[in-house]
Amino acid sequence: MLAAGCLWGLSFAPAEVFMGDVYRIFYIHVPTAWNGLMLLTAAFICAVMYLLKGDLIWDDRLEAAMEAGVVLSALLTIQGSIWARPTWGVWWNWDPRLTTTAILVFAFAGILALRTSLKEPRRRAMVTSVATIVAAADVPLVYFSVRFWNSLHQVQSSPETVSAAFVWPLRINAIAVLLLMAGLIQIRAETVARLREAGSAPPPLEPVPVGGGK
Amino acid sequence: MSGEIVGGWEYVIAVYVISTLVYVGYAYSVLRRDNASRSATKETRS
Repeated sequence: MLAAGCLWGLSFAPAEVFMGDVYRIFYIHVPTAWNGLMLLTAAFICAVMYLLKGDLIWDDRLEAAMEAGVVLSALLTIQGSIWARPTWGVWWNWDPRLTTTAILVFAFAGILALRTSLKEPRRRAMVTSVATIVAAADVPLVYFSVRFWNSLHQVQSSPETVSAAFVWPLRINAIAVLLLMAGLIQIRAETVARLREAGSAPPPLEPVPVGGGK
Repeated sequence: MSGEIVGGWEYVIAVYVISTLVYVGYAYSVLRRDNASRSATKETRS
C-alpha cells in the first residue's frame, strides 16, 4: 500500500506550480509527520492510563508507541532538512517548527534512554509516565508552531486547499504508515511485556537432593 | 525570475531512499527483537 502511494506520488501526480517535482517529498514527509505526532500522543495517553490504572501493560504500550514515535520524528526532521535545501536554500534553520520538532525528538529519545537505566518495573513506569506527560506538552507546540509564530514552514494544508490530484496519494500513504506502525507497536508492546515478565519472574528453584545427602 | 524550482529530483530520491531504509530497518529491528525475546523466554522455561 505504501509502495503504491509512493509510486502514485512520484509518477502519476502532477508537478506543483512553484516547487516543481521537489514537492513530491510531501507524499512521504506529511504521513511521517502525522503518524509521528500521533504515536507520541498515544504515548502520552498510555502514560495517563498508567497513572490512573497502575497496570504495567500501559507502560509496555507506552514504550512501544514512544519508540516508534521517536523513529518517525527523527526521520521527519531528516526529510524536512533535505526538503529545506532546495526550497529555503539551507539544510537547517532555527525556525519555530524545526526547533520544536528537534526538542521533541531529543526529549522523547532522552526518556527512552532514561528507561534503560531504571531496572525496577514500577519505578521505571512511574518515572517514564511523568516525564512523558511533561515532554508531550511539546506535541501541540509542534503542530501549532506555524500558526503561533512567524515560520518559514507553511501552515497545515486541508482538503479544501489541496488539489484532489495531490490528496489521494497522500491519504494512501498516511493510512499505510498508520497500519504499518499499528502492527509494529502491537508486536513491540508484546515483546516489552514478555521481557518484563521474564525479568520479574522468580529464578528457577535449585534441585533439592533427595535422601538428606548422607 | 519566476521563483519556480527546476529539477531537484536528487533531493526527492534521497528522501525516499532514506525513508525506505528507516521504515524497513525499524520493522526488521522490531521483528528481530521479538524473535530474540521468544527464544530467550523458551530457553528460560526449559
